[in-house]
Amino acid sequence: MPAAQQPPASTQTPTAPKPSKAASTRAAILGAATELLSEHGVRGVTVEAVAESADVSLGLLYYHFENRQDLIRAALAEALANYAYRRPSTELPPAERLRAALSQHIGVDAEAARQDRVYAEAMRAAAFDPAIRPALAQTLTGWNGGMTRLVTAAVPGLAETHPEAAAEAATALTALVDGLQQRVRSSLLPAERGLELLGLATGAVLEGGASDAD
Amino acid sequence: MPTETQKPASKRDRILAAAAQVIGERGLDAFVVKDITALAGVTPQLTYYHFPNRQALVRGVFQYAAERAPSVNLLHLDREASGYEALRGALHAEFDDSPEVRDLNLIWNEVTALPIEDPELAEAVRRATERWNEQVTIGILRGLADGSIVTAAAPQAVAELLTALVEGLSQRWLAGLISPDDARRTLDVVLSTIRRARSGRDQAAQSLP
Repeated sequence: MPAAQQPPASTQTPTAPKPSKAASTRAAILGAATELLSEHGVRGVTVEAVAESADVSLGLLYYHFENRQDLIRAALAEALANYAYRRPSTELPPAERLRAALSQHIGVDAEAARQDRVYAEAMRAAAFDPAIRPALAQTLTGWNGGMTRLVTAAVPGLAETHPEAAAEAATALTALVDGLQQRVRSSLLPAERGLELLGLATGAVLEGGASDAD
Repeated sequence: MPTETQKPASKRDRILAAAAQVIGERGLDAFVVKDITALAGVTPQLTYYHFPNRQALVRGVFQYAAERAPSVNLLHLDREASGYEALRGALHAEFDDSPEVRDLNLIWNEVTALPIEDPELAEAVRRATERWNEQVTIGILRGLADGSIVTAAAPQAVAELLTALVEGLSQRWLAGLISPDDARRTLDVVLSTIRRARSGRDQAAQSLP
């Protein structure tokens, strides 16, 4: 594990550091934790590994975070707040933009796969820890909202069937992406097959919306 | 609920039922084997005899959950319904807050959510996923045969897509982000695209929440 080259000067006492230093120490700990999280998952986030990677003492770590669970919650919230998907070029037609935006999560793009791993970790942890849900819900709402706008742009008539139709279609597609992505990550499904199935569903959902107007 | 439990459950099954409950409550990382033996009312020695280590127990309980998945078993029970309705009912049955169904889903989700380290478990997951896809494919073929389903896509592809969607929705439901009803409604958005519409009005009605 690569240790930081220049340890910050804060290697002594766990007693009340000055606010600015405290904030940067906290940020360093969180940074190390989110790094470990995206590489090794929640299981890889032990207080020892985080302290070593952030180059702080265990005492200082415990000054900032009550326990491992507290640290994991904060790291997941931090990672989810920075969760950002690539926005496909606005020069593409809306339907293509939608496909591209969804496809980036099916295991081909390394950076997206890293972020998605953290998202999946948060999803799994939230089943047992309700404190993780708000950050996760916010990420999901943002993602669904972005895809809803693309669905609306791709099939302008959809809102005429009923007002929630675009949001429902977008939600179904993001849920499918979550399911496919999980199988790709677990090597149960080749990424190409995942993309093929996603294309099939996207086509069906958009077309279904379009043909309702017939 | 399928009534296959006519004969008294074997000790092994009792251990697995207890394990499903304990893991459903605590998760794979946090469960304690002692809680399972206590709940099953068996000795630690007997548990050890059937499951010599934690990995073996996890494999056992995954298999147990996979065999009892509602959408694998219900699909062929509803002989009266159209193929489409039987398929829809079976997939909807996965989203259920009753502890028995929730625990099964949780175990499946715990095992499959992240890359699987134990190769034997990974193989069991691959087989269980294949079997699930096969059962749903058969359900789709039944709907194609009775005319309640129409699709230009390969039934196998539609099945894979539907089971992946159920898994994606299941994660959100178990994480407390959506209700079982939300999950079913979202599933219907995709399911309705393979439903044979008898008239334009029917199709519109179908896609309403």
